[in-house]
Amino acid sequence: MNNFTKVGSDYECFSTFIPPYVLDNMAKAGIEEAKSTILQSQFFRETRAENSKKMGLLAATVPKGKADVQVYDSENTTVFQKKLVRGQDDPKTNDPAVDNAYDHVNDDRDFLKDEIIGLNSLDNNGMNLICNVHFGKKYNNAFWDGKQITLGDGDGVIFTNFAKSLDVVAHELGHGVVQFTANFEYHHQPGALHEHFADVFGTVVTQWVEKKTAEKAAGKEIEWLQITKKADWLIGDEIMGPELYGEALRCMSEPGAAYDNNILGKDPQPAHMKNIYTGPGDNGGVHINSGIMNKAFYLTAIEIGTDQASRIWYNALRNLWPTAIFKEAVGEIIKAARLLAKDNKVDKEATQRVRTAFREVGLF
Amino acid sequence: MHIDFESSGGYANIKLTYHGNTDTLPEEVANKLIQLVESSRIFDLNEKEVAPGLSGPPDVLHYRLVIHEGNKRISLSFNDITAPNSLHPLLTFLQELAWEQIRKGKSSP
Ligand SMILES: [Zn+2]
Repeated sequence: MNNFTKVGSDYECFSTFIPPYVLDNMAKAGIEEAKSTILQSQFFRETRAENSKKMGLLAATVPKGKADVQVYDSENTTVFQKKLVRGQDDPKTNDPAVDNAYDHVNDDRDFLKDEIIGLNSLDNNGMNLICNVHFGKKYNNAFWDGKQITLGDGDGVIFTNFAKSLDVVAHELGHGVVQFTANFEYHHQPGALHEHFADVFGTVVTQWVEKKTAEKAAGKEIEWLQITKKADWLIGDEIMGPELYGEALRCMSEPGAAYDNNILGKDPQPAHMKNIYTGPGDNGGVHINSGIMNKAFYLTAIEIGTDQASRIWYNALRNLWPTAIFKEAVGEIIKAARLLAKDNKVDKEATQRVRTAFREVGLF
Repeated sequence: MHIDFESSGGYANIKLTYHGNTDTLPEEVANKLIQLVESSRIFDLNEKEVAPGLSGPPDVLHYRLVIHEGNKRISLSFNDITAPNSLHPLLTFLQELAWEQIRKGKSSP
């Protein structure tokens, strides 16, 4: 007899079946309503693809959330939503992991709301932004599980606390935005697109916050292109522990150059289609081949500014689909650039810049 | 008891491996492993119940664990979401051992 409980046939990137004890954990954590969210988001995706009228109906029937930030402490267990330690507008807790996570998730939500993207939370329906910190013991990882993000403390040697880093938090929440838009399958090229767009969110949110901070210090507005050119384009550099200080996990401007040491080996990311990874590891290279698309984003951004590149990429993301491969993503990105240029929302030459960028990585 | 362990994927996409035999490991490590295997009740787990779907969720760690003890053998694949809570202390310790080996230059990811 099969003990599995079917939660949803295509619950985002979640596995098809969830064992009873996982469901128990979810129930304990008060996320039974996940089931209705699953159904809603499944409906949302089907509707978006097939019938825009139904989408209006969904928007009218699903109550709008307030996009509140909620930080939970797993208290070094593997329980999700164990103890709510900081809700929206609550005072500081003096636990750096909690307070950092709270600030980063807030920044991410504010970025999404800003005119570049214009989203009301990850689902554009005001869903609360849930973050678990102190997950597990010395847990060297962070992830998005379809409903919330979860951050480990790191082991203090290889990695520090994952909550420290805005680009980690924005990357994981970026997976959420992808889930509610293209909802790429998490393997091979569609999976590498999932990772690519998450890295784009990671770096763009970081640059957006850097811009705000610089403007506050200068007391005047600063051009996006200036921020773009000063950015480090590194992913994961803020969580490297004492033994890996100065390294990063990915480098968008130069994929393959993020790290080279005795502990991690050498960064395996290719920067060109001629070196695409075709092995079975990492779900078919989802964190590896994302480097090719990352490089194209970087090349575009340094020409037209990170704001305009983000606008183009996000518009393409909305029109992409779960099984899309790189070439199809390129097609949608170029189409988005053309339409936005026509509407004067990006520079006239943006389409040419995007095409040149993809030519440089062997995708056009 | 023989243990073959591998973890992969995750935000950092790091592959860790660890192979150990409690007959040859230092006593302290061997005892801790035996105790954690016992408390994980791993031999009661059903391979299919913990097996993850084909892909996702994004950035979770994937694990493979094979344990031989006498005439008992179990081979499991799972991820952070599908692993029962009872397994996590063992996973944490195996990852620590794998990292320690890497830092000592005995293995590479
Ligand atoms: Zn990711």
